[in-house]
Amino acid sequence: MSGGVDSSVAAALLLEQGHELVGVHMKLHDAQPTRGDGSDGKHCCGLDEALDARAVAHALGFPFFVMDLREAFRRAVMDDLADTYLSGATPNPCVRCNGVLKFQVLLQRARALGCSHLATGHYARISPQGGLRMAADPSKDQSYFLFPVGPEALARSLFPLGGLHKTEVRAHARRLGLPVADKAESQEICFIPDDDHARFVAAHRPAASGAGEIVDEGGAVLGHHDGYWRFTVGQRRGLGVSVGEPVYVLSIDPDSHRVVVGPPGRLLHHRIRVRDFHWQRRPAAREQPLARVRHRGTLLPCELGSTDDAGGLDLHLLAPARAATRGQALVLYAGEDVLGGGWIQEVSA
Amino acid sequence: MHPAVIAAVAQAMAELPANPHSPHAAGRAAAAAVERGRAQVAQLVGRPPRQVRFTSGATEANAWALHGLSQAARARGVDRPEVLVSAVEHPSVLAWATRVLPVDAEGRLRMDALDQALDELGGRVAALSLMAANNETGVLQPVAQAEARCRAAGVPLHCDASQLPGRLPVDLPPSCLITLSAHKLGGPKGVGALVCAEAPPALLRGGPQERGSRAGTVAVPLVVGMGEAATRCNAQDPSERDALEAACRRLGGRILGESAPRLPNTVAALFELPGDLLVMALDLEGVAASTGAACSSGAAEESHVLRAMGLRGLPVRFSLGPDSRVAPAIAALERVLARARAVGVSA
Repeated sequence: MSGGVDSSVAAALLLEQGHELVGVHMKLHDAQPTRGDGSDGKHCCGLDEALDARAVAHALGFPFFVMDLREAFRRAVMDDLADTYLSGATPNPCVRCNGVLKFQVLLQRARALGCSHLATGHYARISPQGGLRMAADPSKDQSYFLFPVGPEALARSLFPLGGLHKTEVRAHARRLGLPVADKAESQEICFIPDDDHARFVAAHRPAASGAGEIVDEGGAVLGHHDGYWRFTVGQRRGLGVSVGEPVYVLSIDPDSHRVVVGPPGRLLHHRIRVRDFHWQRRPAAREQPLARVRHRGTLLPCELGSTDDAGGLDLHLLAPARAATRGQALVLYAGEDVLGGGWIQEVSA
Repeated sequence: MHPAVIAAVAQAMAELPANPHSPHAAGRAAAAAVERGRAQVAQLVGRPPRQVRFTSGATEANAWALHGLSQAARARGVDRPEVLVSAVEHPSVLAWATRVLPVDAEGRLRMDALDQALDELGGRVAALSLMAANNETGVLQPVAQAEARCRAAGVPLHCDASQLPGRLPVDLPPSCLITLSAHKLGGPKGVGALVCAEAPPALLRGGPQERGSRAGTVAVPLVVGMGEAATRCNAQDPSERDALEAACRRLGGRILGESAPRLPNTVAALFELPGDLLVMALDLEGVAASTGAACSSGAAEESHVLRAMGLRGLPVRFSLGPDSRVAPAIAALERVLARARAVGVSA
């Protein structure tokens, strides 16, 4: 329970369905959150969020705990974020948080507390066959962030909001007298409230040095930067180079610290190699696999190679992805069902 | 709380509405009730009633004692007064420390460290603060030994004895300043006392209450409740504690401060599983335990007491009241540990 409207409504709906609940707020880090209502939530551990969640649990009448999972979060998410940027790729901390913190660590603790299921306010559904499925509200769908949640964990999971539209969730919140303030949507990474990931990487891995050149595809030096982890493939703004036409980051080399820029046409990728691919289910013969390379991104028809023993998978996109980025998740769908997902390792035209 | 304590508080609220510092009959009635409470608390600690000065609780009493003794040292011309405290003191004492003294693996103040600090800092020491018993482990501190060292060095001793009454007889050196907390001895929350022959310079100023030592209207009903509770403080029988400790050991727990003298009501055990998770699971089984330290959100935090003892992890702490029976807690602990171990929770 974050203290926000989604997890609060999810809890209230489960209670109405007759479930016995235990509320948990995860204390994950010490960053001071910015709040959607414009006030600052400056306290040791997102205290206001924890207290909001506690007030909801108390009003609805079920036990509530704050779990300190900072150590696990640091290892699984913060270290991974810094190290992924240092490898020249772009991390996806929300997927890591779901895959490790929520649906491994928290689920395990929930079971230790004697709970049969872990319920969250995610917008996603579980199919009758037990697989992951998109939310009914495509504008809220979070299935992309949940691809690492395997069948055993899904069998113990409940997503009470998956079948609802956001307007229905808000209506429930009003009906139940729950606070309807949204969390700050602009905040991309919860433990980097100022959105300055480069500063986080430098502070988290103080020994790392990353200054280098910004070059064109021919190797001509166009400018300099103070840390290659500042950049993401597909980025245009903030490059600090001027060559008369818009240029985008095409690739990042962590060894030479070189950031290669070029015209947008060079960002169209047809071939993607994914690592650590985990199947939710295999596509049926007549199903057209669709690939998604970013949260709520376009679903791109594709042809699949075979998965190797190490979970490597080659895809050929029938329509190109723009700026598929190493380190980001690639999730495969068939219709509304999630077939599986993995991490983008290599891209090419 | 004992029904007689609740009744005394309620009766005082109903029948003693006046300010005890007022000159009229109703005020005198309230003042008499306060003095009765003062005598009851004095009796508990074996000091004359005039030594008992009521505060809003142990936190204020600790602040008053240590801030005040520093002020007194300054008044004597000490430029930078030092406040020595053991590393396992309550945070409301640690907040005033200038020098934190180490404890041994059992959590008891190391006398060699005290001797060294007294030698080194000499006349600059404004006070030593050493708790009677630790709130997280129940380990008793060597207060009498420390008092002898302090007396020889001419250093005032302050003793946070919040944990002692109702568990063990309060038998502290006559010279030391004593902090008491009403709710730790069966009384209401929001009241405590600093017991001392001579009051340190005031912390709360702006009124003549408590013989001019502490400004602010005395909370009559709370003082009445504290006094009533003080009359009911008997030493606790350790047999339930012993049974719970034996069960914790049998179930794979390590008792903190195991070979040190301890309070007869406190069990702190470290398991291979996260203590905060065990405490949550016990709560769901209807057993109220704690980990010892928590942040303002309620999340458990690693305790400075364990760190000072050279340990890591979150323990499970049980505090037993005089009427607590541990058999249900032991049964719940067995269920909780079995389930968590079956799931295979990693620390």
